[in-house]
Amino acid sequence: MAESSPALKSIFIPEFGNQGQEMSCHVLWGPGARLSECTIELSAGLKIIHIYNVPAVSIELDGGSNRAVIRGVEENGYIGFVIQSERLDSPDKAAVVEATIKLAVGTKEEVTVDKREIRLIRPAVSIGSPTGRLTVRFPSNAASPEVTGRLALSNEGKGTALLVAAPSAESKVEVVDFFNAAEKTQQLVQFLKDRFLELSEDYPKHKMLLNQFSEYVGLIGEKKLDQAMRLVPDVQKAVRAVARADPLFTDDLGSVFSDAFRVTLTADEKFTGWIKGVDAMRNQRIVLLNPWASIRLKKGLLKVGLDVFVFDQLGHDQSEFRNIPIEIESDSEGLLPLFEILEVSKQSQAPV
Amino acid sequence: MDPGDLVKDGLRAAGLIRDVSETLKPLVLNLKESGTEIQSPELRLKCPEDFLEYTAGLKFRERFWSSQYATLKVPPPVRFRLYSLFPYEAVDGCYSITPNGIRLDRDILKGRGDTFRIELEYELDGSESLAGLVYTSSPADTVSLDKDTDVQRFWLHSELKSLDFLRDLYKRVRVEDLGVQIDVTLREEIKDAITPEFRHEMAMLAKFQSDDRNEQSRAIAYRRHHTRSRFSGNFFAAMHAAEELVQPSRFRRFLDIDGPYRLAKCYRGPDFSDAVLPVSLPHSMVVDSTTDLTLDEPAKEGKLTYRKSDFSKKLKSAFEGRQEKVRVGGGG
Repeated sequence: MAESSPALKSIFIPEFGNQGQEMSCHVLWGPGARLSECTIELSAGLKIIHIYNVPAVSIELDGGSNRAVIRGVEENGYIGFVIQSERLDSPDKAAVVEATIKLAVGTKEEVTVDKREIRLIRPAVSIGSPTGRLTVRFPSNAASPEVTGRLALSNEGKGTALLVAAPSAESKVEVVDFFNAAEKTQQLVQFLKDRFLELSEDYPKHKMLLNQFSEYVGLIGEKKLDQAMRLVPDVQKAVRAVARADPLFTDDLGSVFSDAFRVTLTADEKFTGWIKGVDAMRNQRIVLLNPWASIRLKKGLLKVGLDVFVFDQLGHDQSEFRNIPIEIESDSEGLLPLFEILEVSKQSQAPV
Repeated sequence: MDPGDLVKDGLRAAGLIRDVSETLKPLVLNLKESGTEIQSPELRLKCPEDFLEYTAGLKFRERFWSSQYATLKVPPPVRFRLYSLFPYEAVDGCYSITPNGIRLDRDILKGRGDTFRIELEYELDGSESLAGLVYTSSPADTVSLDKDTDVQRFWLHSELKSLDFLRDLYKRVRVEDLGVQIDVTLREEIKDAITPEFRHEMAMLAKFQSDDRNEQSRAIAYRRHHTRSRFSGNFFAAMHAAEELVQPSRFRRFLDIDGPYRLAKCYRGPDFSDAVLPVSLPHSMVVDSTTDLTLDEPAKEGKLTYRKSDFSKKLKSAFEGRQEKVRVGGGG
């Protein structure tokens, strides 16, 4: 803070956020002062999207929406505003917000210039190109297959990357989930659908979200896993929004899922599901959203294209990798979880 | 962009406030007209419940009582309470709620002075929620701003979108218990904490309970040759201790709040990834912090700190089965 006015009570601008996130900010001053002028200036990559307690006629925008001059408020003492960042070139960049506030206190004018940095992060995922064949062995005494020649996967960004992997449409390879037995999946899907229906009677205002969930589990039931996965970010975004507004509903929704698993799965299936989830956490900043998606291997060579979709925590699309050609040599028949194809490299190592 | 676009969200909120104020306008106007004097009125907007509560001191003038009964001509509330000030206590049985308002019985109020405190509660009609009055934000990811890796810090912020209340009618307005949510992810901690020995034990246990006879007999054969468990602790106690750490009441001990926020509630995150975690260890915990906003304090900031390494240490010792005596709630 370069200069400060005693009449000014507080300025809030967050210290960090995700690129693309909306963040609320404020300026508050005491009843003894009147606003003469408040200028909010944002560095490139940031824009103002809402201003509160200010009539439109008192706002002057010069240039785009990254510099606003405010010359009056509706109720004295407060300006609220919301800023949003764009996706920036760098996955970790400091943007600057500069607020200049001129307050009239009696006959004096007090000026405050407050310049702050917001660190804006996002994930930055890269996948190396295949260097040769992947070889897969299914040892009889181990639970998971042994894989060599994996693709290098890294996240150079500070933001968490959520990944969905699926065989590309072109490669016509079927995705199977670890529930294996079709009948079990059907049982699970039916249970979930019934409970979603019940919930939408209890919470009519969340009916749309519950329908989305129903569609999602329906697609899983029909083994259209890649299609289902494409719904994930939308549904996740909706869940997040609802969680904010209605924690009780979120609680109930959570128990629907846990009940479904309790009712449907046997102990070893639960364990497989759980441990696959644990294994899929590749490191702090890379999370695979569909750890249970697998492909069926036969003894011999399989050529498959791999699609990988990357989202950030807000559900925004980050990047996608389409149809990465992969050759897998297997020593016998077995299920290969898709995430076994990817190997997280240390952040210090440059991606291939 | 046009300045008009920037204020749209605020105007929408002002519209909602107008609806709220209009609901209660006859209340205030009628109270004034009916021979009562309103003192220190406060309008409280209860956020999660979408309830409006109006509280005020009421001084009844003589002309209010034309007979033993008099009616406060207000829209019938869902709840009404009346308190005498000396002594300060709720006066029961003095009223009935009728379609015309609240009918008061003078005989019961006699001898309790002429000033009372009233509380009226209304439900917000329509589909709009009071949450629409407020903008809240918090980070989706956390970055360590310093070398401090033991804790994760999150900022919390909330602000009113409009202060356009009918100031002459509602001098004091509180928007109560509005929540700001933070997702605290536990993925890394869980992955770090599970020892290979514990993992093996879980797999064995699962196989014993398998529907698949082959899996079962393989597990039994393995046990016959390896009579000593790889995991030295008490498996069930360890599992229980780990699950206990993510109980909302327990997990909040790893959280600190700075600023004018209250830690309202923690619950298990609803992420999809939880769907594959039926073993009651969620990938994330959602932490709900609440605050109140008023016309004098229309915006508030706060900080939530998650003591990550403390949690991680506790989870590790739980999974290693060497935690100090497991404290089981309810006795077991």
